[in-house]
Parts: sequence; C-alpha cells; structure tokens
Amino acid sequence: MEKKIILLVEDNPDDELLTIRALKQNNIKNEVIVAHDGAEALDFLFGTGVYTNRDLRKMPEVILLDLNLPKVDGLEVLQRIRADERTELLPVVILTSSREESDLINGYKLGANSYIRKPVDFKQFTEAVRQLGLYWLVLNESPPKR
Amino acid sequence: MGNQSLSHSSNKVLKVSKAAALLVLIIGFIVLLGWILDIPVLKSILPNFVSMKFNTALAFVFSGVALLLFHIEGNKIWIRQLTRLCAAIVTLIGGLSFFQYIFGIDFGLDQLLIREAPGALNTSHPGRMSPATAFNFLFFGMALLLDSWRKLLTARVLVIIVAFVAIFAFLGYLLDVSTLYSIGPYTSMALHTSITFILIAISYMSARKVFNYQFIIRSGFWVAILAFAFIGVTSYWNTVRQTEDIKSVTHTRNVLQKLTEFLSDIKDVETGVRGFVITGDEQYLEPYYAKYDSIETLINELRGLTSDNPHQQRNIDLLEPIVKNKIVFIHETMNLRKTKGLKAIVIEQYNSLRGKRFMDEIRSIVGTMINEENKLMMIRNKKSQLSSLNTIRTTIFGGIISFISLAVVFFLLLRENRVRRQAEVALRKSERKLTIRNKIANIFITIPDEGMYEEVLQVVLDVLESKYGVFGYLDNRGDFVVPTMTQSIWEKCQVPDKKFVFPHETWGDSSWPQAIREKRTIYSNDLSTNIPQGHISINRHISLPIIQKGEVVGLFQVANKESDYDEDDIELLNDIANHIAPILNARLQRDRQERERKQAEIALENANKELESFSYSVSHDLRAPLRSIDGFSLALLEDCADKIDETGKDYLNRIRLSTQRMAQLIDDMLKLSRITRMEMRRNTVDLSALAESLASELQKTETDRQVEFVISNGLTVDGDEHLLRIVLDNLLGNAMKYTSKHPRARIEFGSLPGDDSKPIFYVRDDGAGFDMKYAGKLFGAFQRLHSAAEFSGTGIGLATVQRIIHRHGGRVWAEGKLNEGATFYFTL
Repeated sequence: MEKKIILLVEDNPDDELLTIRALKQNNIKNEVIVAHDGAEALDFLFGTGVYTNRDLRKMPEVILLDLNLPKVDGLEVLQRIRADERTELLPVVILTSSREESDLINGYKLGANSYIRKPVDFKQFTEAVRQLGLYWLVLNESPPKR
Repeated sequence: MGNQSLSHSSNKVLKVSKAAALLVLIIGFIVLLGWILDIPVLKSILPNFVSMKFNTALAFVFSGVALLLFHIEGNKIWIRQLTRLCAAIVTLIGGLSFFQYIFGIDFGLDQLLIREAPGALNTSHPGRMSPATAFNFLFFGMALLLDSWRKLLTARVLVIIVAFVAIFAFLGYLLDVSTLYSIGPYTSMALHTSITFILIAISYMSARKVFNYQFIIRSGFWVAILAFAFIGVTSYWNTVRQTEDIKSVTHTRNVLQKLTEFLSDIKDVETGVRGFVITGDEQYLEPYYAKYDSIETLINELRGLTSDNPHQQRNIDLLEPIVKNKIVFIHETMNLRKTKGLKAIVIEQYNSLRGKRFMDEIRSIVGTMINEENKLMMIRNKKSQLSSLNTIRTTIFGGIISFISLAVVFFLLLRENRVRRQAEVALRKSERKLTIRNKIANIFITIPDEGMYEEVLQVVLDVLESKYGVFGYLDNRGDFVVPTMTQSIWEKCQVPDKKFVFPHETWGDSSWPQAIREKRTIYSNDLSTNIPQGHISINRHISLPIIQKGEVVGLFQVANKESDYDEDDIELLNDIANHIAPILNARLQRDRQERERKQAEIALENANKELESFSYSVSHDLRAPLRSIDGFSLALLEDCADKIDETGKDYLNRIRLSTQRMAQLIDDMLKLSRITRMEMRRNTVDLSALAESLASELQKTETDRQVEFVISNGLTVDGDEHLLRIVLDNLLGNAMKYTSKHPRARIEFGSLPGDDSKPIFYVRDDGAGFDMKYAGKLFGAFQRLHSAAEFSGTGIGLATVQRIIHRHGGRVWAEGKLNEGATFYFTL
C-alpha cells in the first residue's frame, strides 16, 4: 500500500518542527511533505516549479494548511485547490492561529473541510494533532484517486 | 427716522412751553415790581399803554409758576399739590373779580393789595381787571385744576376758550376792531394782557403736547366755521343796527320837519294876524283858524316824537306855555282890532313888543330844538358810520381768519395725505422686504444642498426684475465660489450646473472683485466693457457684497434689468444681503463642519480598521513565538528528560505555564478591544432566558458540585443580545468559579426596583466573596483580588462586563464580604 502523504503548508520553522514532532509522537508515520509558502504548495500540487515532473497521481491524503503564508496566501491556495479538478476533492484542514471570524467564514466558504486553531499549549497542540491524524488518516474515507 | 424726529420735535415743544411759561412769569413779575415800587413804565410794560392791574399781574405770576411746575420730572406729590395751590389762587382771583361784575358786588378785591389812582385809563372800576381777563383767569385756573386731576380733555377745552378770548382781543387791537376787545362800558382787556394770555395758552398746549397736525387740522376747521358764524352774526347784527339807524335818522328828520312845519305855521298865523291887524280884513285870519288846531296837535306830536329825549322834552315844556301865551296874545290882538281898531293895537302891542318877544322866544326855542336834533343826527350818523366801518372790519377779519384757517387746513391735509401715502409706500416696501426675507430664509432651511444657491438667486432675480445674476460665496481660502454659474451665462463653465471657482489670484478688476475687495456696492447702468469672452453681454448691473461682521462672505450680482437700476433696487438688494449674511455664514459654517465631520468619521473608521488589523496581526504574530516557546519547552522535557534534573524540569514547567498565561492574556486583550469596537445592535433581550441557558451550560461543566441557580423570570431589557450574553457569561461564570471551593453553592440572578423606573439586576453568590476595601480594583483590567493559584483567570472578565454595561449607558458595582459571597449589580 502506498504511503499516504500529508502535505503540511507552514511557513514558521518552529511550528513545522513541532507539528512534525507531534505527528511522530502520535505514531503517524506518513510521509510529511512540507511546503514553506503558498507558491511551493501549489507547485507541489500541480507539479510546477521545483516539483515539475512529480508524479501527480500521488496526491496527499490531507493537506494541513496554514493561512498566513508568504507569496501566496493560504486562502488563495485553498481557492486554487478547489478550482482545479485534479485537487478539488482533497481534504484541506486549515490549521492556523488566527481567530478572525472572517478567516473562518472565508475558509469554509472556499471549501475547507475543517478549521482548527493552533493552541499555544503544546500539549493541547499535540492532542489536536493526534485527533487530526486519527480522523483524517484513519477514520475518514478519503476521496477516490483520480 | 420717524422716532428720531418725534423725540426731537417733542424736545423743542417742551422748550417752547418752558420759555412761554417763563415769559408769563417775568411779565407778571415786572408789573408787580412796577406796582410795588410805583414805576409806571413797568406797570404797563409798553409805555403809554394802559397799566396792567395788580391782581392781573399776581394771577399771571401764579399761572407762570404752575406752568413751569409741569416741567419738573417725577411724579412727586408736592409738585401736584403746589400746582393745585397756584391754580386755586388764579381761579380765586379771576372768579371773584368776574362775579363782582356779574352780581355787581364789590368784594374789595381790586384794591386789596394795592391802591390805584382813580381816573386811570379805561377803567370802569379802579384796580379791577376787565371782565374778559377775569373770565380768562377763572377758566384757566379751573383748567389747571382739572389738569392736575387728569381731566385733560376738559382742561384743554377751557384753555382753548381762554386762548380765543385773548386772541380775539389781540386781533381787535391789531385790526382796530373794538368789538373784539371791549364789552360795553367795562374795562377792556389790555393788549399786553391778551398777549400774556396767549403765551399761557401756548405754554399749556405745548406742555401737554397738544400741538400736532391732527389738532391743528381739526381746530382749523372749527376756526373757519366759527369765523363764518362770527361774520354771519355780526353782519346780521349790523344789518339790524343799520335798519335802526335808518329809522332813527328818519325819525330825526321827521322831528325836524315837524319843527319847521311848526315854525312856519306860527309864522303863517302871525302873518295872517298881522294882515288882519293892518287891514281888518277877516280873510287874513284864515291861516289862524286853519292852523290853530294843528299847532296844538303839532306840539303834542313833537312831544311824542321826542319822548326819548329829555332835553327836547324840556324845550317843549318851555315852548308850550309861550305858544299858549302867544296864542292868547293873538287873541287879544284880534279882539283888540275888532273892537278898538288898528291904532289901539299899535299903541298897545307894538310899543310893548310883546308879540315880537313871544315870537323871538318861540323861534329861539325851536331853533334850539332844531340844533339839538341836528346834533343828534350828526352823532347818530357818526355812530352809524363807525359801526359800518366796524362791521366791514369784522367781516374782513372774519373772512381773513376763515380763509387763513381753511388754507392752513387744506395744506395740512395735503401734507397729511402725502405723509400717509409715504407711510403706505414705506409699509408696502417693508412688507415686500419681509416676504422676500421669509422666502429666502425658507429656501435656506428647506434645501440642504447646493441647489439652495440657485433658488435664492432666482428669488433675487425676480424681485429685481433682472435676467441674469450671480450668487456666490467665499470659501476659507478666499476663493470666490459660484454654485450658480451656468453655461448659459459663461461658456467657459465647462460643465453645466457645476459650481465655478474663481481662485483669489485670478480675480482681476471687474466690478465684482472690486466690490468684494472694497466691501462696497458697485453699480452701473451702462454696458459693461471688461467681460471675458464667451460671457453674455451685461447691460446694467449691481455688484453687492454680502458682509457679515465686517467680513465679506458672499456676493450678489444682478444684471440686465429692462430699465435702469435705482436707489430702491440697491436698497432692496442691500436689505436682502444684510438679511442673508448671517444665514449664509451659518450655512457655510455648517457645510464646513459637515465636511469636517465626514472627514473625522472617515478618519475614525480608518483608525478603527487599522486597529483591527493591528490587533489581528499582533495576536497572530505574538502567538507564534509563544507556541514555539511552549512547544520546545515540552519537547525538551520529553526528549531530554534524562539529561535534565528536577530543578531544570521545574524551570521548564514554569516557562510553559508563563507562556500559556501570556497567550491567555493576549486573547483576553483582543476580546476586550473587540467588544469596545463592536457595533451594538439593540433588541429586546430576555435576560432570564439567557441566564437560564448559561446556567445549564455551567452546571454541565461542574457535575461534582451541587450548584443551585435561582433565576427570576421575565427579566427583559433593551440591549445588544450578544454583548449581554457575554456579561451574564462572565458574571455567572465568576460566580461559579468563586464558589468552586464550596461543595454546595447558590447563585441568584434577579432584579430590584431602582430609581427612575430602571431596574437593578444582580448576580449573587455565596462563595469566596471579597474585601470591600478593594472594591475599587474589581473592575480594573487585569486586576485581581485573588492569586492565580486560588482562582484562575486573568482579571479581564469584570473589565469586559463593565465596558459592555457602560456601552449600554448603565452602571455596574459590587458588594461583598469575605467568605460570605458577593453580589454584582448593574443597570442598563
């Protein structure tokens, strides 16, 4: 069975490290691809830029999307994901520290599957990640591959 | 203007009154001095005139004093008493003197204070004033008394009568019409007395401000009517007298004729008798027999005819016996002739000349009588002539008076008419001005935008019958802004109906910039020459700046009236401009303020937005490092557990705790600021329902305790539901928190009646309570009365509550006792 990929779109290296650690701690052994900004995320998803010649059949199982990204903003990435038929069904979990209601609304409007706020308390964060992983990778039925 | 001249003229009038009164006083005083010091010149003022009587002078002095008292300011009682005293004295002097005439009594008044030499000119009774003077003093004194009792109308009438009597006397002297000033054999009013009375009348009338045009017109008519009546009466009177005079002349002639007849009869008789005596012929006795009876009759007739003349009667008394004697003598003669013949008569009678003597006596008496009658006739003639002359003079006098008064009335009526018409015109003008003002004020009020300028200009153009015009204002940079400049006026105005701005530097020298710079009206009825190209031609214009408090705020320009602009037009436009100035100023200020307010609003919105995004980014950006700190601290703890000792682990735990606390603080701060900025939406909020739902939620969270919630029903209030939810959430949450140490707790939510019908809501718990000493710190942001170890929390809850309550315009306060619980009250 192919390993399920998790695409983590996160610009903060600390957050990146902590998230990956959290995933590891919860025995989530999937391959984690990290995109450090929106452009890189889109490159990965559509096989452009650095990721040209990537096998586009290997789409991530779930995309953990931060909103505050340089270059291309998180919501725009979401929009692009939902706009392209290759990626429109992919589960996107917005994982952000923003509490702004507008972000929440827009996120859902643009088609995010879920919106999770990053807690400061790492313990809670770990717990959140564990539940995330459990849900999206184990419980959830992923959309069929195209 | 009317008011000014009124007070001016009334001042003059009062001065006249004072002067006249003073003059009266001085005249009286001089005469009194004359009498006291016995200087004849002073007694009659004008030399060779009849002297003014002492009493008259005295009465004049008191009259003068009374009249001067009118002019003392103030309503003091003593003035009124003194005036009444003087008036009473004058009345007394006049009245008593007058009654002396009427009832023929002598009160001894005339010589009481001074003695006049008898035989003084024209004086019927020594020392006594003329009846007219007495009458005048009586009436004037009464007039003063009535005046002091405020019966002004009657007083005025009396004074007018006094004036007329005096004026008539004066005119009589002037025109030498004696009827006017002398009444029968009595003393006539002296010329100076009449003049002084006229002064009295003038002084009184001016003091009482009677002399206005209405008064003169009305009295003019009366004077004319009276003059005509006067002429009529005197003419009638004179005609009657003339008839009588003719009668008496005829009468005298009759008498004369009779006398002559008598004389001739006697002569005839004598001649007859003489003839008989000479000839003895009885034929000669014919006249004797014929006239014998008639002589007797004649004498009786004469007696009858002259019955009114005692002199003639006496003559007749003398005549009769002589005639009788003569007749007896004639008889004797006749008998003698008949009996003794001619010689006897010659010897007896002619020698004694008795017959001749009789005849002579008769002749002489008759001659006297004839002389008497002639004299009488001459006197009567003279009198008749004199009275005709008088009549003519009176008629002329009456005619002149009525002519003059009618002429005066006529001219005054013309004047009144003119004045009234002027007043009408002025009234209409001011009414018009008022209507225009109202119209314009209305426009200012009802039209809030720049359309107002066009409307106002239209009104102005209509009123001034002009085809084109400009109405603009100066903005705060000093540029001239014309919202009414349209393409119809100036092609250069590129956009139709858009306002045109003339920057200060480009103004030039045409009339409107000149008008603004020099702050004056500039107008011309000629064709304008310095108009820019594309502008319609201007023939006749007025440029009038609108000035408020010495500064130009706007300008009116009107042009192209069909006829010339005149003073009235400029006055009208000026009036409009003056009226508009404050309104325009206020309007411009208001517009300016409106703009500023909008700008401030925008600035505020921008500031809010900036704050919003700032808070957002602050919270977001602050959280990320916190996350890192906490995360890596835990990672350290977990991954390097074996390399860190207990102390290290403790430190790391503390680091983590602090970090989390900081995150909490940031969240709370954000929440608090958001609440202040949030829009409030007011609805009817059911607090009871809110409390119920919150209470049940809270109960679910702490199942290990027994918490009793007592919530009053039906508590509704007007406010923002969301915010009020936060309030109750905080208060009830606090209550829960601070009773957490007690196994059983009771939390109440209810209301109390408050003053001015606003209820006081409260949340009460029986938990940890607090020391009232620190009550002031309760609502401070981040202020806590317990340590974090005792009860969790950042101290933002109550600050939030307070902020929300304040936004609703209410109050919040608390009472508590340590370990016995706390109650939080709030109003909305």
